[in-house]
Amino acid sequence: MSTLHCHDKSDALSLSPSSITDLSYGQEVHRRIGTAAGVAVLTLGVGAIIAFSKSKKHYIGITWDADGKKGGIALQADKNEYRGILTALEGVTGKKAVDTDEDAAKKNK
Amino acid sequence: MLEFGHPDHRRRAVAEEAALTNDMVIKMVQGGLPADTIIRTINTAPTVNFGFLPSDLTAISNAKVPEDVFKAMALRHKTVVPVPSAEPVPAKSATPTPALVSVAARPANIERLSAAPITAPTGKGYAVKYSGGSLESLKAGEDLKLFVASEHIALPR
Repeated sequence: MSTLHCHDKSDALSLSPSSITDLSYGQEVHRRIGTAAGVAVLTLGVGAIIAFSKSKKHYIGITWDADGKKGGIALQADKNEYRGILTALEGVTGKKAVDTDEDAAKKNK
Repeated sequence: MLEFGHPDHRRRAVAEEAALTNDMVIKMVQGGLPADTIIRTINTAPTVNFGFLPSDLTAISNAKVPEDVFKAMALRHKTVVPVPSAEPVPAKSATPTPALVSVAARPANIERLSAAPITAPTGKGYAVKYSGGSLESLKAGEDLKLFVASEHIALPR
């Protein structure tokens, strides 16, 4: 049986794995321009290197249908942990996480 | 007769060579073995070496591996049951020992990955940031812990 408690004092969200309908994963890539500008004030070379480096944000999407109560959330995960979270979620739900970036790339072809 | 290496090392090497893999599970599914039998095999295999990379998941999906079998694979992901000693030990119970030893060479982040499905909601959890969604009580950017267990997925406040 599915359970969902969104307004519990202790839990912001509590779901049974069977209520999960979809898992997704996506990342946002951006250049560290802001950081680079700050560092460039001190050392121009290091600032330039930082400006050309990229940082990624990893997002995990979870949607659910708990006894007719549908919803979804996006969570930002650490770069060292997002794979573990995805595998854990895939393992307990039996759903395969959809890579939204891959889907978008296919659509743009 | 000459013998090289410590007996325990040899037994462990043999056990790891015979590790249950994705391909073996897929062959069992394609061979028509019942899901219960496959799950029992996964749970009692001395060693497993499952992969969960995108290509592995595609192969598992294409082979129509049952959901319960996949869950059993995820729970046993890259864990090794201690290799039994040479001396026969009388069986105390039909259930497999719950004490699992992690593969030593595994990176730290993969360590957490394998333990995640069996972590109770009261465990350490994963640090995540709420980025938006259906939970009106939360603000975007709020730091949370995500707990994933076989019977429960929770985001405590």
